[in-house]
Amino acid sequence: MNGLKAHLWKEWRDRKAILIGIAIGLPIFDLVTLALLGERLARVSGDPGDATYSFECVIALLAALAVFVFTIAADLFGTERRQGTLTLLQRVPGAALRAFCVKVVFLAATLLGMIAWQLISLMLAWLCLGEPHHAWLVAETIWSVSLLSEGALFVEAAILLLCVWIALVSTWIPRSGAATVAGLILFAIYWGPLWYIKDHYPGFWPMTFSQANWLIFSALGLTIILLAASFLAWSRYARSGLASAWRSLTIVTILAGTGYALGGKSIHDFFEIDPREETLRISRAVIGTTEEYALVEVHKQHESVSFDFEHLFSGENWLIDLRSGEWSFVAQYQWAMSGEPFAIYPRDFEPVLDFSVESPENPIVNWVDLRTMRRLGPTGLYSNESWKYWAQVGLRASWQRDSSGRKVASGWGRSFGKRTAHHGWHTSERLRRVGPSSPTAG
Amino acid sequence: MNNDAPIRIRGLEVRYGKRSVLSGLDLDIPPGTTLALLGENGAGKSTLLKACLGLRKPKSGTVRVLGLNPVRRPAKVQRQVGYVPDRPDVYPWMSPSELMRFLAPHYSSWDASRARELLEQLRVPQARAFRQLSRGEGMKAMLAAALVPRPTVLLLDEPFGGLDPLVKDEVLRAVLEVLGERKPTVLMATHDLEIALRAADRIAVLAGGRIAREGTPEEIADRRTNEAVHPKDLHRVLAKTREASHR
Repeated sequence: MNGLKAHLWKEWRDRKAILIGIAIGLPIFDLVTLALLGERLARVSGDPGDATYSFECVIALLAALAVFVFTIAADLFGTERRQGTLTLLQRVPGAALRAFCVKVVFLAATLLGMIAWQLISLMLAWLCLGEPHHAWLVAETIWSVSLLSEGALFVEAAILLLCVWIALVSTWIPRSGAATVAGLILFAIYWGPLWYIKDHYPGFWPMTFSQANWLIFSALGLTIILLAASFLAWSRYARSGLASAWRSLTIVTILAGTGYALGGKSIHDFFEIDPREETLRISRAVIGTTEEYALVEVHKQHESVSFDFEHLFSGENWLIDLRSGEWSFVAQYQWAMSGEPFAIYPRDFEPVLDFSVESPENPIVNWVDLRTMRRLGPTGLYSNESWKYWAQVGLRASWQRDSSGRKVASGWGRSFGKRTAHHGWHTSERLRRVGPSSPTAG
Repeated sequence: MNNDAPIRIRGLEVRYGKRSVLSGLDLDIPPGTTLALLGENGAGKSTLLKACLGLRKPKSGTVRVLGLNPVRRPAKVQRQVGYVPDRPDVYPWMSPSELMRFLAPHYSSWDASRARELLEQLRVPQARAFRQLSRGEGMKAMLAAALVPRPTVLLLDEPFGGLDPLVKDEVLRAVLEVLGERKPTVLMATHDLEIALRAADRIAVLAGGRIAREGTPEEIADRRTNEAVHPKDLHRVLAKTREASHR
């Protein structure tokens, strides 16, 4: 048995009773809760469809997290102190570091195991209640929403880091100043990669926060759990750790709150298309064979990180009346990609410009004039140059300066918030001259 | 100043908050010597042992164990130092043999067969959990655990405290028996003069945060003025101890 194995074995033996108790208790809790409150939960969620099961899953996960924080995380070193075994770890060579590493690994494994077991318990509870279909829906929800979404993963990472922080503060660094520094380091570990991603992959940042409701809900639940846990567990074993924990938590929470606020603004900016923005850009368009209408997809300069355009692009579809320059909002981008706007507007449309990405390894966007099949030239994934290709095929926005000197699409200005503003989009003279089936000059 | 001393302490000051427990303490323990550290409860005996183990950081002064600073290099010091706490600081569900298995990977010099031999020699039930062992059995198990890696220095922190006289005698015999095999340097904290007189080569009296007196058991016992050591009549205790040892 090597050192780490010895500590893992010790950790398991030390917590065997509580873990077995939880493993037995969670399914019973789920069964009783669903039997008594299943109908009510469905009504509270207000949606008899998938939302019910998402809601159930979130409630179940929070219950599991509460149990986890109360019984495992807050008591990691409390037990050592209470048993008087902390000195054993400190006086045996290398034991303290190994114990700490193993405790963190144990925390992670227990957290993930408990989440998994709780969700399995939820399914088992439905099966016991004679509702296999519900169990299946829970499984589907877990797979598609709870476990694989960015939000869930970030929350799980945050919980784990918080638990590490609890362990640090409650055992190793009882001084407030040091606890604060440790909290900040953990905060940096959590936020550092996100900030890196923000700078390098602009489209990913808002998507990280697209699960904002989930995050906020979980964060609120977690805060309440930690609040209670700190009073019960820390005050029981180490009063001195309590003040440090709270002081450092306050600072870290303020910083984290600021981060989430910035994230929230990011989401808003990403999904709200303001036609006055200079960065707005057309990703593709089709033009009616009568040249009366064009259907354009506009978005901001965010491209997907994973090339999953359908899922990650944020933009809108606008229908442009090429005779008057009037435009109207048609659909959100995702719907447009599924072809719905084309079905809504049963006119004959002809694509005029499209792009393709060479490969994920070589993210060059090739623009093609679809009327002539001529390559207009490549741009980088985040390039702002695609406008010029639109001009080449004859579709462009005309810009002018407003009274404050800001560059705006001409004609915008009235009720664009309702997406019914008009003007500003034109076919160029060249496009007007060229018939729909005639090749366009380059 | 003895440069070869496995334990060498100069001007040691240790504080708990604003309270100074040890203040200007100097101590040398020559190789192979068993030094009993006598003092009343709260005199700082355990603190001194913890400072030698690197568990307590000095406010000022130097502590060198085998020439190493235990605060800076705790693992290296702890590998060569055995420590027996005043009560078993192990998991109550653990049995002595499980404790040995748990400790083994932490010491390169660990010998599993020696661990079994020591437990047998000290007559410790190996498979019973610590919570089911008597205090004497628990302390003997801790002593065995401390001795398996063949430490160069042994720190005993009140190993006989709270034991009834018969058990105390049994544990003391076990200590003397095991120490007789291979003589490490021993620093033993106790407030029991009888134990000190029977087990130690030298006795140091800790009072006022520093070593008030140091000498052989006879020298210490002969000083009637030493009120800080023990309230009882030292000569009477010494006489009884000699009588017991002659028998």
